[in-house]
Amino acid sequence: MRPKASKPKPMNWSEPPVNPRALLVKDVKFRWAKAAQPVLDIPEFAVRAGERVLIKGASGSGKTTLLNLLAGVVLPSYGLVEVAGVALNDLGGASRDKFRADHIGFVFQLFNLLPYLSIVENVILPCRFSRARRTRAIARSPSLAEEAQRLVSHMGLDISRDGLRSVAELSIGQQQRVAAARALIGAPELIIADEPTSALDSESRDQFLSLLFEEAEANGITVLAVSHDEAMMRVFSRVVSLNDINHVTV
Amino acid sequence: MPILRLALASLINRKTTAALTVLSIALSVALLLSVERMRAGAKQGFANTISGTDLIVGARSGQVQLLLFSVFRIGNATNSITWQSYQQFANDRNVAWTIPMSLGDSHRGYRVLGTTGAYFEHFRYGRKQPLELADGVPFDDLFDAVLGAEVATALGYSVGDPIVVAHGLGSEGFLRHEETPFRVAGILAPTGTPVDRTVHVSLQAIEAIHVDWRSGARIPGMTTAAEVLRKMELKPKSITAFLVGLESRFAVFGLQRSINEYRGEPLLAILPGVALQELWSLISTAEIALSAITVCVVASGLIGMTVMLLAGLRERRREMAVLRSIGAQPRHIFTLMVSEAVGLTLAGCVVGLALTFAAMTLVAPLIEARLGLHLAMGGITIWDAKLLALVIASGTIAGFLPAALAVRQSIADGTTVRT
Repeated sequence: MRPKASKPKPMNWSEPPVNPRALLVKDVKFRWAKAAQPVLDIPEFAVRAGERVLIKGASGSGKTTLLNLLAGVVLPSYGLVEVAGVALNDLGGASRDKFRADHIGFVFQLFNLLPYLSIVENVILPCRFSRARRTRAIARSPSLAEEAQRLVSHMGLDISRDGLRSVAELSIGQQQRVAAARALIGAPELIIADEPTSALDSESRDQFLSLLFEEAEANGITVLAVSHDEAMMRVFSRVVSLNDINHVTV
Repeated sequence: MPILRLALASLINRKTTAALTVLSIALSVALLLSVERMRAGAKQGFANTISGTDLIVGARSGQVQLLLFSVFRIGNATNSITWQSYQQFANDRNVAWTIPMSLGDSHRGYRVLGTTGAYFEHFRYGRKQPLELADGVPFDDLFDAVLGAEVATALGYSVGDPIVVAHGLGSEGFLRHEETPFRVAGILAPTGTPVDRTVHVSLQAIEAIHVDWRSGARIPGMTTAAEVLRKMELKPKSITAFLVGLESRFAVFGLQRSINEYRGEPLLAILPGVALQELWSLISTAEIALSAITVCVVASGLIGMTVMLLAGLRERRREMAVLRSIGAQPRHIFTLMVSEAVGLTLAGCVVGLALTFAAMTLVAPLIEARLGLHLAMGGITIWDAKLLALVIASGTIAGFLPAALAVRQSIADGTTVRT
């Protein structure tokens, strides 16, 4: 087999048409069913395609709710949520789930991986729910497993060399790398990272983010991270404080 | 189908709890299938105890009681039939054959039946199968005995051995007819019916062993030697029952009526099929109770599975959130949980079936030898398949509860779980 280039070149013909706006939140108010006050009131928040945006905010400031809105898991009481040019409000529940599978990759703070699947199977998982991402992943490598291995090794983890198979054998830092590879596979338009590095030390945090951005940039993926970690700010192209965009008076 | 792979991987990951759950379902399924087989075997064996006989006649009592002592060798006759009455019906023009039966003695716990050669000629069981001798001949001499297969095996007799017949019924009855030793003339092939547990002698022999006895007690000082007995003219004065075979089955109700209305003495004629049915309906209460118990055992196995799946939900909230973030829809979560339930139930059924076959192979010969129950072996019967389908359907439904809860939980959690 031909050895692969260490830095894969983007394959323009297989990329989705570039939408100048990856994300738009407009006039959004969100209130939990039994709450009197809304937790979110965002007049406007937009992210351009290819941007790397960090939203910072203390816990309890509505970060989780915002992420669930962007993921289409919940719908706003008022206003518009648009991802990759599609208004999530217009989609039914199952269509939003399908949309999420096709267009969004997730990285969580901890416990990203299913303990009963191998590392490669964990990375491939989004391709099992999204034909679009499977097609793009296979366009990149001969097989899904090879694409998974390529992404994992790009994230700085050589599973074939270390003989790693089970998720249980991984350190937290290694788990985050696998999670990033899973978010990247099949090149979704948007990666949402919820406190992706708060379980990592500063050195591996910087390395993790630069590798993630490198691969995201190569595929035109927009990255939106949420964190209260000030140290992360310098590597992002834009830092937004949730308090600045959210007009809820607490 | 990615969900099925996930369900399988998830179950394998929890192999200890999953294996125990499968085992408990398997045991309950094995119990269900075995009991059903025993039930079918018992019912079949029951119906097979007698065939080809049109009427059973005894002194007036209940039809079940008459059936029990004449066919199953259980209990006692309340009264006897005089030889004259017997002769009268035996010579009826519609009657093709009769088998007189004289019961009341035993040999080491096995009933002794006094009868005639007609027994070996006309008695039928199962699908009208005649009795066959595995060894020896039917009785010839006064003190010849023909043993049922089980008697011979259990007591280790072979043709030519002497045996002693006891008066009354205990296994170690102290009233023994020691002076009149019998000789094993023949041994019958196994039938799976009470015939296997019977010692057959001639009616004359029954008379002979009672020559020195009156009212169940020995006449003091009176001992008649075997040789003397052989020369005596032993004419039976009474019998306890007789089986009737007719020339034409159309005559059966007429003869039954004339026997039941006989003025000479109170008699009862019963149709074996009807009496068997009545007896079975008595027993079937126990049978239904047994089935109900096995159904409860299966239900508890499936409830155990539901508990296992429910207990796992809390620690799987993260897993569900990850699946939702990747694009799994609520119906995928539902399918995942139900697939796990179906997988566990299916595995339980397969293991249970294997256990049943293993148990049947090991135990069936023992049961056949001890209880005379012939258990159907061979492959999966249609009834088995129906039962298994029912278990799998129940297991699927049992999976709906944890599946519904998992869906509710995952919708509430979304893609993020605060742990």
